[in-house]
Amino acid sequence: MSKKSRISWLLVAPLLALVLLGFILPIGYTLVKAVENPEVTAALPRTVTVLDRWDGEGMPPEEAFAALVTDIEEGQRGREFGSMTRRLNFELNGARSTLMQTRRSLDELSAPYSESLPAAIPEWGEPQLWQLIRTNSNPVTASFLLRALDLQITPDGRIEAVPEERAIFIDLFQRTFWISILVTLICILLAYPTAYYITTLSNRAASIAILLVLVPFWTSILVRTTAWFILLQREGPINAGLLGLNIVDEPLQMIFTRFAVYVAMVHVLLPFQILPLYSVMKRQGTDMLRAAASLGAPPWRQFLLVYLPLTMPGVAAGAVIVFMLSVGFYVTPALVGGLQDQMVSYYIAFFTNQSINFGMVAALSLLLLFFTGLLIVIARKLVPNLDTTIKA
Amino acid sequence: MTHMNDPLVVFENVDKSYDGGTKVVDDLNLTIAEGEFLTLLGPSGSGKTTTLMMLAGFEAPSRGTIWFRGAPLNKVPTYKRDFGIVFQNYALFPHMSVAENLAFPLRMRRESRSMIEERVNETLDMVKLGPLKDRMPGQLSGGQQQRVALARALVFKPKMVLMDEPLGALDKQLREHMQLEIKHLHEGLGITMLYVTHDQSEALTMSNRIAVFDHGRIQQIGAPREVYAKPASTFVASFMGENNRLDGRVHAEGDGHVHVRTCAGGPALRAMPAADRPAEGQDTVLMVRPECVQLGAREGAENSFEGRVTDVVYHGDHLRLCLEVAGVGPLVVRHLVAEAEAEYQPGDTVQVCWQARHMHAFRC
Repeated sequence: MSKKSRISWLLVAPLLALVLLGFILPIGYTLVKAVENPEVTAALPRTVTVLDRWDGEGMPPEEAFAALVTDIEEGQRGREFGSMTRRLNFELNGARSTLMQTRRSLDELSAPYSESLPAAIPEWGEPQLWQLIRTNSNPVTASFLLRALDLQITPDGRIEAVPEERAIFIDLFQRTFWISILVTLICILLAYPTAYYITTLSNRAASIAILLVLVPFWTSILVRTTAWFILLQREGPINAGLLGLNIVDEPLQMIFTRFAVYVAMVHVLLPFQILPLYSVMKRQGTDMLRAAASLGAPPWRQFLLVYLPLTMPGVAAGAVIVFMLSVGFYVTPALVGGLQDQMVSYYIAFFTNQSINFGMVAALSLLLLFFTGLLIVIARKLVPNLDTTIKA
Repeated sequence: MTHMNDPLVVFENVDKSYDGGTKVVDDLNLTIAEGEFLTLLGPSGSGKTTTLMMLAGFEAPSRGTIWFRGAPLNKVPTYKRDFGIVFQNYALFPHMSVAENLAFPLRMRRESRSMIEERVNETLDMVKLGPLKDRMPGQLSGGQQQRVALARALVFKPKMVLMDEPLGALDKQLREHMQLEIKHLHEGLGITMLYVTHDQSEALTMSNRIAVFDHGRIQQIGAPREVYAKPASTFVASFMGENNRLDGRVHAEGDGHVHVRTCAGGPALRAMPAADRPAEGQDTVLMVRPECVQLGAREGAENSFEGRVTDVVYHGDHLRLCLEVAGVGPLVVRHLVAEAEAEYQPGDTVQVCWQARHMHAFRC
């Protein structure tokens, strides 16, 4: 390696390290977390070994009942037991309380367990729970990813849709992308004329206008969202104004609606659309429009055939940033939206903080990444020179 | 049927001011004849480009009227004026190929597809760009872009063509080549052309007439020969080519000449009075071109002096001799190398002479 290339490697090394530590490793870890399934094997090692030899038909042998009792006895004080019950409960509602009950009644049991256990707790007399334990002895599972798509694995190993009342994730992804697309479109529609107007201003006025665009950046997203909360609430100034002017008879329900989510998100994200558009428009100057006019194009055709195509790089660059950011929005919908307006990040936070299910956290994150990538690929197909326009 | 020399465009008392105070164009009266090649020549800020912009419709006159074939043009938007315009930076549409750029004005006029194709090919052949029709402007050299811009301004057979320093970005050789090409296009198509430049040699090469601008006003308008040989003012004389300038005072008039004594106080010089002739006893500025001053004594030369060489500069085809002429002042002489009869060194004494008709006397 020459001295020059050694130096250039040294210069990029910090960035490479950052990308590796901050990007590639976490995503890899997430990928692993989304399919990892260690809990049952860790908490019930003997049971798992015995059930491995069972064909899954009818009831498991006495050997399995004995192994289960030993495993629960041994693992009583360990952490694994708790994780295992949560894991199984995720797959089968009620599994956790069955297992807890089993642990409490261990002292009353005596061999042969294949008779005493079902007698004490009837669930052990059915093959369902045994099948569940057997299925989840596999160290790798698709169950989180499937659940994030409203699918589940039945105890006997088939994939089926979850009951309708528990199917929320497909709807959630659809809602997330729909909100993001709409926010992006609203941002484009608002930013385009604004950016154009700023280019027509004198240098002094333009720098003041850009400053005004940038001011929201100086306050945190939480503060800006809270401001909308205050403005839009039932007793807020907007409702007070509407009531005072006799436009409405009773306060409008604006807070905790989809409308509030759009307003607050567009407000937060608008600068990301205005700034790239402005810089592209600024470079454009008037010559192209003048040329089009001299060649016989009336104003609307000058705009449609010349100005719009030439400013598309700004639209595309801004739209990609706005879309990417809105897909991951959490605080704003959480504060001003209702339950039906929450986006994927809300559930990621829920599974992280409330139900502590890192498998679901990872699965949702991974699918969000995947769908976003898919949408960008589709956008590239629909807008053939999106890449080149963004590069320009 | 229109004939050459019919007025096509008339500027009538046109003013243009951006701030309400300073007039960029000041009481302009100008007639552009059908079929002519008129060049607006002047230094930057002289109002020549603003004049073109007003004719193009990009700027509105602050006062006065622009007439086109007898109809006022002030309120007509650019896209209805039907003028081909070549911009200084070409303003080719970067997202369209060469052929699409040329098709644009035809599409605006809703020509048929076959008609568009035919005209585009025909025009590209005219500027010798046929093989490049599918290239994007970014893939072309400066000279090729210039030709595309020219072709795009001609393809829809406009009523006239306006060009704003179109050759400014090209190197010298290409510029001279394009000057001839534009001239030939003008002669071949017979289309009226208005050309804006600050390059006097460009103006002299191509124009039927030149309008010399300064401070928003036309200082002189006329055929290239006339403007060059008979400048109307000291500004035109010094802007068009090089001139020796001497200050003096008229002390007599006679046989069509004025007799002027310079400040150096030597013998009287004979000069042609300019249109705005200085009267006897008035201060005057004398101008004589370096190429009009001859070395050696000639018969019929009214002005003949002896000078001392202070500097010799070799330019390949010609020499520039800087002289100090006693009683006259410093003088630059342009001497063709092919005609040189001797070597000149600083300090040599030489004889110089020039005819009175080559020396112009202007009122101060």
